[in-house]
Amino acid sequence: MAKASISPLEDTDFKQITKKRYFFDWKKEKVAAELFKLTLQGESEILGLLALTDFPGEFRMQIHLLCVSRDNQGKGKKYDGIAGSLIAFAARTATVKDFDQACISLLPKTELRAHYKSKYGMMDGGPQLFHEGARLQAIIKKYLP
Amino acid sequence: MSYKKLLQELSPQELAESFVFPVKLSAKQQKAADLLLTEARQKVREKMTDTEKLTGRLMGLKFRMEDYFRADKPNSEYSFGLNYIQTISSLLNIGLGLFKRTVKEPCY
Repeated sequence: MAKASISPLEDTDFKQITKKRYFFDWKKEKVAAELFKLTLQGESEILGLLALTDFPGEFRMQIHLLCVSRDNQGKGKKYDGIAGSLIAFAARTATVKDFDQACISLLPKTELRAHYKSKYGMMDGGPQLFHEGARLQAIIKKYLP
Repeated sequence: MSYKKLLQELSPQELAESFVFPVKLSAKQQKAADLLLTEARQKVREKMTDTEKLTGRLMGLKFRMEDYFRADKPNSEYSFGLNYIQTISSLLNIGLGLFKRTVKEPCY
């Protein structure tokens, strides 16, 4: 198992963040969200990106955007568990802020809803999916042991 | 690349393991969605056990301490004294509750 590191995205990182590899305009996301990157420990290549929005009055953090680098998607991927680790990191960040009241949520595309539930154990909250309590703690323990 | 094009390249399962896409809702839809989420969270919170609450508090405290010691500079936002006392206090209350239940049971 490779050791990964998740840390805030820095301005110098944007040099390697192209739409071809990371699909979205991440500079735009910087305005309204906190951005994080997943790399292998001691390496600079970004394997995944995460945009988190804080809703402090609700004790909730929303996963606004998440993307695994192109060469780690689908059947030919080099590393597995990148998205899971980033979701677990969002859960950890929420727990640091709100302890036992912490919650993370995301608004899924309809076709992907069942897969987020089965893969990450997310619960239905109307159109949104969420993690709170035991399930939030479980995903942290699974992906960030 | 658009979502539809990606669906041609990857299965829905592979997409869920690679992306959370931004989804836009109207103000009215967002308000309704937030209300439903609040209701669902309330149900989860009502069923939350003391152990789950305590685990959440202990994990939060542990992560804060990890982040504090990893950081280059001290962070004045973190007040371990109060968090520590509240967490230990919860732990003692739960422990005391268990002890009371144990001694109430007759033992032969």
